[in-house]
Amino acid sequence: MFYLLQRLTNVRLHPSQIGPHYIAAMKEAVEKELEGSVNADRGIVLTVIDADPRGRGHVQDGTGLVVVEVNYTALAFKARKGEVLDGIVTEEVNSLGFFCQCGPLQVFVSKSSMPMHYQFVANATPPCWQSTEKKTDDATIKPEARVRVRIIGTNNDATNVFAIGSINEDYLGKLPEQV
Amino acid sequence: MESPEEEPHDNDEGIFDDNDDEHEEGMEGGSPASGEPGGAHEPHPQHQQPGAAAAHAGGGSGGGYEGLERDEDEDAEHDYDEEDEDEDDEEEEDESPQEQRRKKSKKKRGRGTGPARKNAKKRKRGGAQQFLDIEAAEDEDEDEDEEDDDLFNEVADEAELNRAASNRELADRRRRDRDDAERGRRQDHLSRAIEGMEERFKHIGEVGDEEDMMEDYEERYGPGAGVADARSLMPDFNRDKLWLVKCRETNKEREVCIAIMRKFFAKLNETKDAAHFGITAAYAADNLKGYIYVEAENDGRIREALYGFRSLNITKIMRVPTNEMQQVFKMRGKLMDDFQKSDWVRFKRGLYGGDLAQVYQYDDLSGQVWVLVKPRIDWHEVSELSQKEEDNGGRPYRIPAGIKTGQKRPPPKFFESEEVQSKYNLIVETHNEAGLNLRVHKVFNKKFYGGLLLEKVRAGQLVSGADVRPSLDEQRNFHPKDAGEELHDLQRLRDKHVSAKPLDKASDIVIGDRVVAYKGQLKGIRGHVVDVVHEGAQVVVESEVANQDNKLKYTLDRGEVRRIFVIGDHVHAIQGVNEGESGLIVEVEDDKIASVFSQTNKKAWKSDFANLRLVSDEGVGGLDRLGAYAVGHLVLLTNQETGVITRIERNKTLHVLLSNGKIQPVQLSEISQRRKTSFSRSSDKNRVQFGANDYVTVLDGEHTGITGIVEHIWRSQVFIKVKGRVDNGGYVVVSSRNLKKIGGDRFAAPTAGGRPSAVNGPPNLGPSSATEAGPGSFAYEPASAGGVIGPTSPVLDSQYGGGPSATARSGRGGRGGSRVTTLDDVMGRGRDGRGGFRSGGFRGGGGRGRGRQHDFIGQDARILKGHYKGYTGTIRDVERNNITITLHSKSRSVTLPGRDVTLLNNPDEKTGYGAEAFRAPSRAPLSSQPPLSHPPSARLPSSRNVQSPSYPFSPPSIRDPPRAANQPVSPPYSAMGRGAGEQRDPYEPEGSMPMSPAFPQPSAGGGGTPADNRAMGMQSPMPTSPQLRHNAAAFPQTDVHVPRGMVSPPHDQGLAGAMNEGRGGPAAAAAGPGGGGGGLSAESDEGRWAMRGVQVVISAEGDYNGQCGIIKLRKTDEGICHVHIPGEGDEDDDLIAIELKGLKPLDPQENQQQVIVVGGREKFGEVGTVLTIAPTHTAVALKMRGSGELQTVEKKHLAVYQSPPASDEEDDEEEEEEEEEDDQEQDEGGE
Repeated sequence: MFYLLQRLTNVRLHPSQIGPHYIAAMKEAVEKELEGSVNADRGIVLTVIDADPRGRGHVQDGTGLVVVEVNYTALAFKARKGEVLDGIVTEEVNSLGFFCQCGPLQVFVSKSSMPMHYQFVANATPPCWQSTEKKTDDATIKPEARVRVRIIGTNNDATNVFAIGSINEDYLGKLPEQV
Repeated sequence: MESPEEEPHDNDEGIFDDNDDEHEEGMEGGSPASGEPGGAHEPHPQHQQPGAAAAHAGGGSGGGYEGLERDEDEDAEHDYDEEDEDEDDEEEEDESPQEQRRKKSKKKRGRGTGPARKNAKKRKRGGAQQFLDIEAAEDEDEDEDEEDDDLFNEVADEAELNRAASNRELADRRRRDRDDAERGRRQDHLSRAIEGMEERFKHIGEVGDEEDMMEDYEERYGPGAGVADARSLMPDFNRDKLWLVKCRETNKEREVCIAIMRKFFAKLNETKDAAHFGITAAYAADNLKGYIYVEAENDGRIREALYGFRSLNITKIMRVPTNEMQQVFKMRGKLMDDFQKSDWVRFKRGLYGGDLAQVYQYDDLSGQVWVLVKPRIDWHEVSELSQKEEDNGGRPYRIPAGIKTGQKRPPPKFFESEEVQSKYNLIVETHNEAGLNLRVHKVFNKKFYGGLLLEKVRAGQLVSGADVRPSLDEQRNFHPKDAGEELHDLQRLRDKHVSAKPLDKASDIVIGDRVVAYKGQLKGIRGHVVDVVHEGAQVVVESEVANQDNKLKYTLDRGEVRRIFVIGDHVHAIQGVNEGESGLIVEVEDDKIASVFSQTNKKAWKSDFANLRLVSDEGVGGLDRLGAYAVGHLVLLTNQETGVITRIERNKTLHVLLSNGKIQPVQLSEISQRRKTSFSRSSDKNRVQFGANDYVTVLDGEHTGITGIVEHIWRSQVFIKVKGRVDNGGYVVVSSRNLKKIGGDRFAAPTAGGRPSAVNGPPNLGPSSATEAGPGSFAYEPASAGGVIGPTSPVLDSQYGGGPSATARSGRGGRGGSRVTTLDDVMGRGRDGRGGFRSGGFRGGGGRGRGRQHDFIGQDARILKGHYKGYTGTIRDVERNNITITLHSKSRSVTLPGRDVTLLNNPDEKTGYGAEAFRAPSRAPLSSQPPLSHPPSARLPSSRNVQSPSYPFSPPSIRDPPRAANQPVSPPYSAMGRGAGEQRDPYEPEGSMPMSPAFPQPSAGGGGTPADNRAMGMQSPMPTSPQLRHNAAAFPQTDVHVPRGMVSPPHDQGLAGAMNEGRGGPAAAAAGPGGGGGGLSAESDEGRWAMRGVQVVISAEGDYNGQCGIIKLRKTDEGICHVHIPGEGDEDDDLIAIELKGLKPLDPQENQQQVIVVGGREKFGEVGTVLTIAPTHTAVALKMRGSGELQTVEKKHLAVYQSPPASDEEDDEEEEEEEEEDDQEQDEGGE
């Protein structure tokens, strides 16, 4: 799920950045600090939309840097349990299941979370999961395929985000190829 | 009571004799009758609690009564249900049978005696059965019955008596003709109850009896009715309250309850209104003697109803708080044991004592367990004896269950049917054990199954649960190889069961775990652990019920719950083959086994729930320790960065505060090692050395103003723990150059008050404080650098420069004191006496404590007062305030108070000014003091110049402030710090005056230091000396530039190393620019290296500055050396007396140079020639002069040496000896 975060942070600016481009520098500093960062609480920060200094910055003793408190608005993504996401199957399709990428989130779908009729075809190139019921391409999960998964568990590490998903439900699983 | 059905027929024992037999047999065959009275009525607390109409102790009747009511046709009852308890209907869907029973009985109670119901159905007697189970417990207790009857008689009313009279007749008639018109309603009830019981007991022992019951209930109330929703059972305010009524006679509680029940029936008979009685339940708890529990609306009704019970004290009625009601009915002790099929148990005693057994079936009502055990039967003996019995034609032979005393018990051996039959000629029958639905072999009275003896034992005879500890071997050998299929099933079941059970390591359920109660009263409840209480014995579980608003919390025994997980949980394995792995659960099998997918290695693995632990994504709480690392450890990461672990999350992520100030989350694998920095030292902005545990304040940079404790020093970065700060675990990293050391030693702090002052004090003097503080801060800082601040240290610092030395190393510090320090001062024996000692600064030197008093033993001292005034002697013993001195001039030992003694090497005693010499002036006006305090006039300028920043503390500056500042300050000071005040009267002027230079400093310093000093002074007068020494040493030393090597002999690294460094600290710190950081460990080595013959360079300013000379003589106790300075010609030779600190030994440099070992311990004083100097300049190979051995000595321990001419040697022999001796002594003291 995507969130708009409105938070405060402190950035430190080099004196050379103080001047006409102060705001830009500050924003850049905020972006640099936040974008791509992962936090169990807020998820992944995708982009900083807006950043405004909150009051004046002050010079930090000892470093000479200007510390500015910044009120920023950022777009963040955090997967929630139960959420249904669309993703693209990555290269990793193996006998345990497959991985797919839902935006910044890597999702693993275990074979136990697939409908019973899916079988792993190891000798296919590339290896894929195929439904035994309808052997059409629509039911073949292979790299680059588009899938719809429901998140059943997340692991928001300090460094990466990871989730496991399920396609064992109606309307989940392989999506028709886009034309 | 003998049997339940008798209750109503109080006095008619034996009336049902014939029946009794039946019953007994039935009970034997698995009746719920319990041998243990306690066990009888407790198994189903719920149903007891809100109290069935009749007291539970008299459940039989209650059952009967209930049975009667059920006689009404079902529809009627349903109607009733709907009318009266609509709201209950829903609940009932989920209610346990027990509860159902309870409820029904309650309904009936409310309704009074309804019309008799016809066509009683067997299954409707479930309620009766239940009470009968309980009632059966009474069987054993004949006496009780009689007593009951007595009791009953006491309280019996007329109706009861009448009824009793007709009981026998009625009963007989009942047997013959049930439709006898003469039966009254009550008798009708009773007879029906009895009938029900008969019915029931006929079926006891039949397979699936219980199951039938359950099925009945399920059939009636829908599937799942057997699973209790415990919530509906919980007491609330709307229900009757529970009261505690004092029972005058202990052990009569049960009887009283029965009597109450009888009274209830009597009343009921009379009034036809159950509610009239006022009491809804009475209950005697086995674990509470002297009281019974009574359930009633209010205590008034209890009094009313129980009036007349002699055994009860109805004036003492206590209310049981609603929230404790549940606990009243909680089963305790052994009863909690829930024997699961295939559980391992162990016999406690008897023939099978200690043997491992396996539960086959547990009857929780009777408390009896069918167990399988490897038989210990001597078939040979059985064969003989049975033959004998048979011949005698007596009763059928029974294989004894026990062993006779003195008899050896037969070894365990599997039962083999063929063997027994053929070898021992015994008849092996095949028998269908009804209660177990099992085909067994039977030999006489013993039953065997699968090679094992099937024995029914009381639960109390078995050890169960974790105490069993079956060894693998035992388990493996438990079943014969050819055991039946079912046994293997059993084994499998057991394995599964065991694996599902919490294992030892995993058994610690923590807050946040999702658990399910897998046994116990609240079996089936799922929820999250919100608290762990009673040291882990119990957990508080917040149930996961649909009703989110009303989450109920239950306290469950630890053993009743096990951890469960659901798909998607982030877990890590805490044990098992996958230990350490973590991942997300992708699959759950049987609520026991999870498939976990690790995202790190993209692998899936399976694990039992017991091996898993939930990982909190949020990391709330975090861990203190992970692997070998804990929060606060300084660790080296694989990327070569170093930082302090500030937080360890539950998902095993460690947050490391790097030395660049950034927080980096790392995994355990990214940590390569832990760095220990306890001995690292660094110097602060003022070049005052500090180490771990020192208090520092941040003067500059991002964290300006923060004060904290130094935890680690890594290169120039200092990791500081800031109390009260939460971010990054309270750690900040600051460059040491931005720090200022404040306060005293951390160790001394808590007691000495150093901490408060350090923290609250004005340590934040800012960068300029050092200069502003002037002398004060200066005198202070060296002290702290030394690791200690003694109360008097500032004083002594400035006064004599060096206190009385306690250890050899520090001994001969600077000179120039102006006042005699008595040992009392030194030892801190003020009023605080030993307290001071403990908090004392003596830890200071190296931050290590050591036997303070030992420091003095062996030292020379001068007696200041009394008969032996002026005598000198050697201190032989120090005991509290008394010093024992062996006089030098007489062979005599005297014991004196410490205050009357001063150390001989006390600078003020022996400096060039000598005790006498300086004492006089010290009494003189203050103006005369400065020269005194820094006696060698040459020194003052030099030290002033060299010591730069913080040494503006020169005589002129001292002179003025002292007076002003001294006056107010000194009195308290002396009062506080110096216990010997009065005694020292004669010296008091000195005492205060010398202080003056010191005191102004603190006061000038902005208060921080004085606060410190005074605080410490108060509590630890003692520490004076050690750090004194340091300071002293540091002081004069500042201008002596000796290679740092002298300071810290590597072999001393460790304690001593730290010490040395500590000592070196001040010197280095004070050395200022000139010092160049050459941290010579002034005090300690200073005294030692200056030996005769050592070549020195004169570093003191003056005419001789820079010249080289040879020490001719060293006045050990004065710090003065006579140095021979060779001139161009013989005539130009100079012999000068100079302060030791104005000297610096020459470094050994060339080969073949003669050197003397002036450091270390082992070879001290030995002379050798340099063979090679290691490239690192640390070690020097020597050829020793005497032995000719080759030795390697630290370079820093060496000084260039020139053997003195023979004549000189003679001249100075005495001095030399003294010196040597002194050194020795001090060395010892130093250890």
